[in-house]
Amino acid sequence: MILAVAGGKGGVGKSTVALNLGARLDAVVVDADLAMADLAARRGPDLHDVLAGRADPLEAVREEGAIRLLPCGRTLAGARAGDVTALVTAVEAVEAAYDRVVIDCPAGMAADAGMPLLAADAAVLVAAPQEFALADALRTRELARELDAGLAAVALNRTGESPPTAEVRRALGAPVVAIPDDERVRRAQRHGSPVAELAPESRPAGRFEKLAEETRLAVTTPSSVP
Amino acid sequence: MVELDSRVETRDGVALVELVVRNPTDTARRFRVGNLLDGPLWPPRSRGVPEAGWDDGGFEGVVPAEERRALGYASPLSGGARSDSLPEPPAEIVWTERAGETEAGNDASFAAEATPEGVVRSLGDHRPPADAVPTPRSGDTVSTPESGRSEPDPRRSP
Repeated sequence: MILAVAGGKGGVGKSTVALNLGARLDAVVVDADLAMADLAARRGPDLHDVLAGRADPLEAVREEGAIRLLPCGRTLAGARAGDVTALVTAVEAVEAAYDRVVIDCPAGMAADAGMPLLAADAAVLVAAPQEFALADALRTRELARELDAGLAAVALNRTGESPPTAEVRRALGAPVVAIPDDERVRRAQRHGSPVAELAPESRPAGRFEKLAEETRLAVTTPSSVP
Repeated sequence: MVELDSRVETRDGVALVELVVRNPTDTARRFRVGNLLDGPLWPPRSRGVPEAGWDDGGFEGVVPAEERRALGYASPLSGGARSDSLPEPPAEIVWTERAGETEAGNDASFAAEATPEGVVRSLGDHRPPADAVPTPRSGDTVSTPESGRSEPDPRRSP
């Protein structure tokens, strides 16, 4: 199963959702944010090397951290040198070896945002609770649909009291899981860990589990994925 | 049937081929144009990938009824080849067939073609502009963790 964590807008917490969802699903998280990598990694080959044909996708997967991660390089030169069309076969190779892959997609609507959706079986959209942020989520949903990645679930990220879950569900037409704003999520993220590692009983940890459940459900019953 | 007009111009050792495919019939026709030059075919590219319809040997596409379609490609002359010894014509119509009614003349949308190249063609290049990438200072080297050797980092090449 290849799952793309997408959402047209930057800064809504795609990397956080990808990392926590990847941990819950026991998946390899691929940081596909080619120009603005977000998931920290130590030295070794990364996705830039894979896309430039200098490394095998499997040797770029790190297993030593809290989650299995295929990190991305952080140089602009690396972002320019790689061939983004190679992403699909790279991700499929990781899926063949590890079975489950979660791709952290870049913001925007350029080719680097479309390619993970082309590779993916389903998408999880990350949206901010503000109304204006929904437009980006809608555009990304359309793109995902055109590229045959059905919408599995929506993560409404960093919500406060009474999140607009019902409205978002109406607008996007998929199960919505609200994830409360919580300092512990950010703290865990800074250490490259899911919040469940730092605070297993916390509310956000429970919500990420719920998101993973919704995703599993949508992917195993393909009829619910449009 | 479909007709082909061609013209070749050489510049700096590269043959530039201009083609016009005409369809005088009253139905849209799908066609294939094959390259007859010796050198490899350099298709037109946008955003780093060949335009839709091009492959190593030529182009496949649809020309609408009573319309024309202009095409162009380049091919490097093999060593010593002279521009006046090029095959004439430089390309030929390999086959044509009646096109489906829904097929338009232009097939650049990835709805019809969900491939990595189609995604790049439809959505555009994401890469940072070349000008934004720092150029290497002379003598810049990095060591690769696998080999322990010191070698110029290819990522820093312009």
